[in-house]
Amino acid sequence: MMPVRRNSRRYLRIRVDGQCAVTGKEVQDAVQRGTLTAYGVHGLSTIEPVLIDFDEEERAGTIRCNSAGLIKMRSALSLITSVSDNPSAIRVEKVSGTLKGLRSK
Amino acid sequence: MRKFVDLHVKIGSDAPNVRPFLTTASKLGFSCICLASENSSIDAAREMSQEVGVDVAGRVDLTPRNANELMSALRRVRRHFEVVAVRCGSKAVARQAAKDHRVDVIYYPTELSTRRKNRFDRQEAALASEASCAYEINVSDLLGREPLIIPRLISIMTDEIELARRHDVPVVVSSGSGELLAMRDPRGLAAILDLMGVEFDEALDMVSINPSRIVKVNRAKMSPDFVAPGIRRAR
Repeated sequence: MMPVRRNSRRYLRIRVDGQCAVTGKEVQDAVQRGTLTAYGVHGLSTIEPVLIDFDEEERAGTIRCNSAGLIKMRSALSLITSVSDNPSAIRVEKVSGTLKGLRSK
Repeated sequence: MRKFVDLHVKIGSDAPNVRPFLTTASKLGFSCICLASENSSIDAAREMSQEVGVDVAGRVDLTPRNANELMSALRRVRRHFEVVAVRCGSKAVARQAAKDHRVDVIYYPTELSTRRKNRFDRQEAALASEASCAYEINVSDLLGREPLIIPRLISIMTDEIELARRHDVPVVVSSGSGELLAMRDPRGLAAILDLMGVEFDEALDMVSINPSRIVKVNRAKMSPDFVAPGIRRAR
């Protein structure tokens, strides 16, 4: 596909705050479920959230979503209160249009 | 650059508890937070504020049972706190709070049964507009609730925000959190209003311009140089 036709994406650096250890799979599930609860199936398909990487020690990771759904993504993340039944908060630290930009600062 | 203010952070009465709230607020990007607590904790927080890099303002949440109780509480607390908020548990309290110039912020109970009967209506919006009283949304009302209750609350809040905008009542979005994990970053708070049909830029004003104006105006009033609105003693 030509680059101009490709969907524009946004990358969010997130941190999971909480007492218990969490895995990338659990975070991915929480993100998907949170988006589904807040915006439904149509919203989930518009936002297309994907957890690209997650460091379990740092409790930090990167989420990719469609740029048109960035605000919805932030909203869904703010409404998440638990990850696999452990009280947690997913906080966005930085947003960028490229992975390089996200990791640069 | 926007200065973000969380107008409602509840803390316990013991002072050592305060520091984590301040550091978290600083990390999240707030430049000012309003602590709803007793005076001693707020004083302790003010001492730490410079070190942590977050401005601290004092807030009192009044939960009167009737209008008379509200009036007497206002007489007692108005001069001691930057922000006076009233939880409108009944229609009479809501009407009195909306028209009283000493009230900065009104908010409503989170219980759905109470909220259905007692909500921010047209009359209260008109009174609040005249008295420059702000309508507050606490995001903590939506966090951790049953999935079936959240849509109903969002529906009520959407109607109330629409009413407030129509009457030029300032809307304030706060975390309303009593624990660290319930605190959210300012853009996260603003993004939640997307569910209520508010544009992101307007929502950002509700976390920055609207609450900081309340704090600024009241700080000026609490200054020893203040004589009356628009009149200040020159030295």
